[in-house]
Amino acid sequence: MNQNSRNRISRAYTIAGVVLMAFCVLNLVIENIVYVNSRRVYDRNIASVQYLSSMNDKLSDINENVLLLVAGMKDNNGTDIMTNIDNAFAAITQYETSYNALGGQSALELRRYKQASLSMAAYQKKITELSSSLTSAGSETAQAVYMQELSPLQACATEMLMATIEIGTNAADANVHRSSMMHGISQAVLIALAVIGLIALVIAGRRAVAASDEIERRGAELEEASEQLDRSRQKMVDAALMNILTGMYNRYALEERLEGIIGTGQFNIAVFDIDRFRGINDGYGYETGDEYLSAVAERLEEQYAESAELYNICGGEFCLLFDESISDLQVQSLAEQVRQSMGAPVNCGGITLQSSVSGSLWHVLPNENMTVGDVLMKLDNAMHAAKRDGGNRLYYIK
Amino acid sequence: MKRNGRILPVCLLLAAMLTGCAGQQKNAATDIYVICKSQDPYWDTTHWGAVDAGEEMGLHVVYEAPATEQELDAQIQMVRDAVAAGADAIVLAPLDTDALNDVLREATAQNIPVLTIDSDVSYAGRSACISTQNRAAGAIAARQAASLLGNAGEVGVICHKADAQTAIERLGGFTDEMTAGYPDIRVSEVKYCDGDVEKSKEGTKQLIEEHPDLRLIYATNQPGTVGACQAIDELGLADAITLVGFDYFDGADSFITSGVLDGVMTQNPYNMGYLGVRYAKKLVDGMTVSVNVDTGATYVDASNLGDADIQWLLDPIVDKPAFTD
Repeated sequence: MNQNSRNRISRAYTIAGVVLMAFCVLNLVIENIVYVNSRRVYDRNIASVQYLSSMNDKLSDINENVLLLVAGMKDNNGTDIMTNIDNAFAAITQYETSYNALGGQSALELRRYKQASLSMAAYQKKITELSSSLTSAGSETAQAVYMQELSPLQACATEMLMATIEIGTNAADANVHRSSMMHGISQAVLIALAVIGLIALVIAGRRAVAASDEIERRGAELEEASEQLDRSRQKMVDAALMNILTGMYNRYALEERLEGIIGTGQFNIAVFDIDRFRGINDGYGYETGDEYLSAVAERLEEQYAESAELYNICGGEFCLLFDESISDLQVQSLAEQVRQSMGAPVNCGGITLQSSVSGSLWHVLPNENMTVGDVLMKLDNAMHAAKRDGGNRLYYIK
Repeated sequence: MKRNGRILPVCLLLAAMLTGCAGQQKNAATDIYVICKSQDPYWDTTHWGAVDAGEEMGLHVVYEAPATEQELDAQIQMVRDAVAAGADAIVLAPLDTDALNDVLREATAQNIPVLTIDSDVSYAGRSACISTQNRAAGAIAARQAASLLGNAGEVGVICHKADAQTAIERLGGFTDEMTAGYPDIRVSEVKYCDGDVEKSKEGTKQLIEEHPDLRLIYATNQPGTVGACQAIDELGLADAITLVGFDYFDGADSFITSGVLDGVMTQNPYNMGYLGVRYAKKLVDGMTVSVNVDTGATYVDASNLGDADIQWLLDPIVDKPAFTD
């Protein structure tokens, strides 16, 4: 896997990490909201129950004092019974004020509380109406009055207060349950999103890796194909510039080379041609002739490759472009050596063949305004002149 | 493989959370059957009391009633149908004290608690009776009447039916209280008018005509009260005759304001329906309840007619729609 792929995958997992962090933060926020809401509902319900229960406790106190009245008593542990009753109702009024101030009660709770409140008011009113008759009437009458007119009111008020408490508590429980449900659902959704996101990231990561590997593989294939193409191209180029038989650069390569040096500086160049080479082909066959040429070329490679660039112009004609480090005088001597070396016997399939060589040598100066064709033609002309003069000689072009 | 190993536990956790998030399984609804005496609008208040209790406690209230109070067989069949339908409890306003005993026995045999409201049955297996203590209401009416008479005078009674339990108790409570506490007050005659308005009107006129010293009339039910009001109004005797009635009715406030009707004993039918369903739920939950619950009777006259608690008592369903079939 290359560095780019690694970077891509790292980025993906970084994103995943950020998403998970965001999920945790969101989770904390939701938790806090749920807790605060539940706590608020719980606290309000607790306060509500306390106030309502306190009202009910006061009703019980009032009932106890009323029973004392019915029993003919005037005071309760030293305090006037009616004062006790009045104080208890005053306390109920305060609790009612506090309960109303809480707010947040449901419509059902308020409906039931309204009846409880009216029942308590009716109870207070009836006690006030009957208090004097309770104290003045006989025990039996007082008891009857209590049972018939006061007890039902007190029982109704208590029943409605208890119902109000139940409604409020049930509503609070339902609210908390709802919050928990919403919390659970939101948690599940968040976790599902996180899991889906993780799965998606894993899948994406795997695909990215696979794609990256594929790209890499194809890149390698392309590179290899390109190299092959280059090699093939080079081969084709080389084939175009090479003499297939001798493996030497051919006339096109020579022309290309001369194109680059004519006019730029002086150089020594010689051409050599095997005298009566056609006779070897005609006498011994083209195969022997090719073998003869290959041997001559090989000899030239072995002996003069370090001293000159070797070209096989065509057939038995060769060209040497001497290295610029060799002096003019040395070149003349060297060129003669080349001619003689080329003319030395060659063993071709057990037959020793030999043919002299003619050639021309020219020290080309940079200020000579000549083309490649001009140079080659002049060299050829000089070489052909050497052949006409009997061959086996080297002419120097001045 | 490492990645698969990490994903699988997370998916399992997710599945567990989703399962948990489904929340508690919803409790099955509790069916409380409320069977009243008739479809007279009077019972709308009881019906709403029952509906409100059902709404507050998450109960399914099934309300039924025969078309009229004369259809006892229909009411018996309704109880039988409730038992067959698998009612969790039955709240019944019985049309008869004894005739429903057999079907109620069928209900309790299947562990269906039965409560009565408004009036009672003789079947001892019923769990509770939530109603006005009619004898107590009669006594309260007597004390109010005595107060209006100044503890002395002649009283006539317009009663509904001699064999109706409510009539017996309301009259009995009234006369017993008078006898025990007000020796100078005499009940000269009781006229039974079948709970019919016209008959009650005629009966009132007859009472007044036949008893010239009559100063107060006590009517034991709503039709009797309405008939008596009409009679006294027609005769123009609002100042001469004091009328203490039973069961508030539409138009009673006008009669109170004009002085025709001096006061009326008012029951709490809303609480009968409300407490009936509430106590039924307690019984279904295995709790014990009071065997007899007095929903009380309140004397309403011009002095307290405008009080908030009285206004609520007279019309607790003022903001609720009427039930239609």
